[in-house]
Amino acid sequence: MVMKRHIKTLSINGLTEALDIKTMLYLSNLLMTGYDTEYIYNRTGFPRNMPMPPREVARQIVEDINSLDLYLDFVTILIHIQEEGLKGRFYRIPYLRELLNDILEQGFVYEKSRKMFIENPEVRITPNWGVLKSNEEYTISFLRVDIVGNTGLVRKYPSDVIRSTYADLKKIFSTTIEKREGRTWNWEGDGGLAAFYFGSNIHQTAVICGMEILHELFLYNRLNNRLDESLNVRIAVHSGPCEFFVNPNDLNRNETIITIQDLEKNSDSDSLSISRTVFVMLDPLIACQFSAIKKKERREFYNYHIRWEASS
Amino acid sequence: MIVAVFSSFYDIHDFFFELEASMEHSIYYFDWDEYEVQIRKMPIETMFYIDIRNLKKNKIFELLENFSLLEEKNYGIIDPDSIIFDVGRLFHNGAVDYINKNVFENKFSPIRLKIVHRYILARDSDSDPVMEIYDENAEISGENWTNVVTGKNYLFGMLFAEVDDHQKWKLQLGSEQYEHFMRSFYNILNRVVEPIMGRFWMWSDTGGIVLFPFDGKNCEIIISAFKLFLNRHLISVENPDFDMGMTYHLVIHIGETIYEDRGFTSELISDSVNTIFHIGNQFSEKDSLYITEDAEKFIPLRLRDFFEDKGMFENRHIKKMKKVHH
Repeated sequence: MVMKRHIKTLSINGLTEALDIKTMLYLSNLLMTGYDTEYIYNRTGFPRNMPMPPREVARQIVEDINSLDLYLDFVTILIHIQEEGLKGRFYRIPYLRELLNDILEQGFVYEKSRKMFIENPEVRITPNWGVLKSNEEYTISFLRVDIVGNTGLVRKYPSDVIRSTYADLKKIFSTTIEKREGRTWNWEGDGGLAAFYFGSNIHQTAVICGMEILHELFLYNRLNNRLDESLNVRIAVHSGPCEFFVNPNDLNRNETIITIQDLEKNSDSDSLSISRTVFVMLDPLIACQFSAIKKKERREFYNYHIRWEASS
Repeated sequence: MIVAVFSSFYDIHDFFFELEASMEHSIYYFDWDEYEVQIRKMPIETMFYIDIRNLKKNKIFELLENFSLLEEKNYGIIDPDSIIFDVGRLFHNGAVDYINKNVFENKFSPIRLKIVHRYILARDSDSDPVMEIYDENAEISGENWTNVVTGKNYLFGMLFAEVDDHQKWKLQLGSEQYEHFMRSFYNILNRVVEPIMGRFWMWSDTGGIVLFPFDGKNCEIIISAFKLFLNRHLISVENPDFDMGMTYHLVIHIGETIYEDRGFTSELISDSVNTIFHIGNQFSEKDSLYITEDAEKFIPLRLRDFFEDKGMFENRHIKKMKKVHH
């Protein structure tokens, strides 16, 4: 993201008015390793026997931040030192509000739980929230949905009926996950994979989405389904480290993805299976709705499906 | 026009031969065991003909009830054995054609279908409500709030919502935190009722009544409340003010009342409002969704199994939504 001319000026003013040179360099070093007095003299060509004016230091820092595309990271650090201080001291950063407004206009919002900027979902929705970088590893909670008996359904029903039914499922899937800041990483027609990275408890968020999809599908099957039979799915949730790839096919090598695929394939129809990693992160009100399942030579997992009370 | 015929008799093909031969209409024949699936699958404005020969009386009763609840789908009865005792009643319940012995002995002509179609158009333009109005002074409130004015008596959809154990929570939490919690409860309900034009009408610090315009045909709050109840634990966990084991109970009713603006209802006298308050305060159990017999007939067919009879209260049958185990 490029800094506009007036934003550069506001940034230079903000740094100069709020911080001394030493703190400016300390802050810059957090973003650009090795950014110290020596470096700034070399960079500006200023004679070493003269003290550098703070405004010149600030100007050079802002130029370097802009050329290395670190604008969002720079403002993130400014928010941090204003809200939480630096080395025990609090700073009020002038013009920070203006910088935030500029970023908001460019389609990004500040996500407090992760303390970073992400794309504003009202402006755009991309698989990496606008900030995850390719080939970098993140801890992500995954939700996988798969239609049971897809091949049989495709053979049995006319293509327009199948197309509209699967589109309905995709709509249920994406509405449920996107309202909780999840992103679709892959959709193959008969199922897909969603990722959760932002939020206070991503594991629980993914589980809640899985449960809500089952509930929505329960109503869909009774009120809107065009098939002669229920549309059934298997859902799984698992969390773990994963590199972000722009190409979804590259994900299949990842251990966390392999685990969730395995978990989903061994689940019952119309149920949600979750790994122990996820289960231990759940609120008791949600956790108590899952039953522990132990199958031979397999890791224990936990399962939820809608069970109605018997008639009294 | 699309015509769907439910029959177990082969001679039905002879009866509709002329219609088939005319090539102007699409005609489909189905067996009885498919009827629940087919009435959902067939497009709107399909004309269904139901051959009731050989059916037991209770089955006929069930079928007619199911068909009478269908919207934008029309049905006629084929009854050469004169099983139906009161033909007029069929038409009161939405039937648009009746084939007796004399008609059945001849062929069904395309002209007859045109007449039926004209009858449907004329009937629908009158848009007679399905719902019976009990009070001659009450009107259907309509599809939205446009025609509702204060001081007049209307039929509304009503939702009573109240927090369980509110006295205990008030003491336990203190007034400030309890207020937070009630605001959260209001917001949760608002997300459910706003898209279907619900208006918070009588509201106190424990809950109250939300009103919905009612057109005599649909009661959308039933599905919305069903979904709310299905997801209630998920919603509680996602709302920090609620994530303390708080629960609530809901009652759905369709009834008439004089409409007054919110805040001006203190002197209002309404049997329906009394009824829903009494059910909510005296009859309801914690963490439950109830529905009165007046609203029950608007439960979609395939959700009816998830409600169970809870007996009578103040001369009304009451049903309760089953719970999901955990």
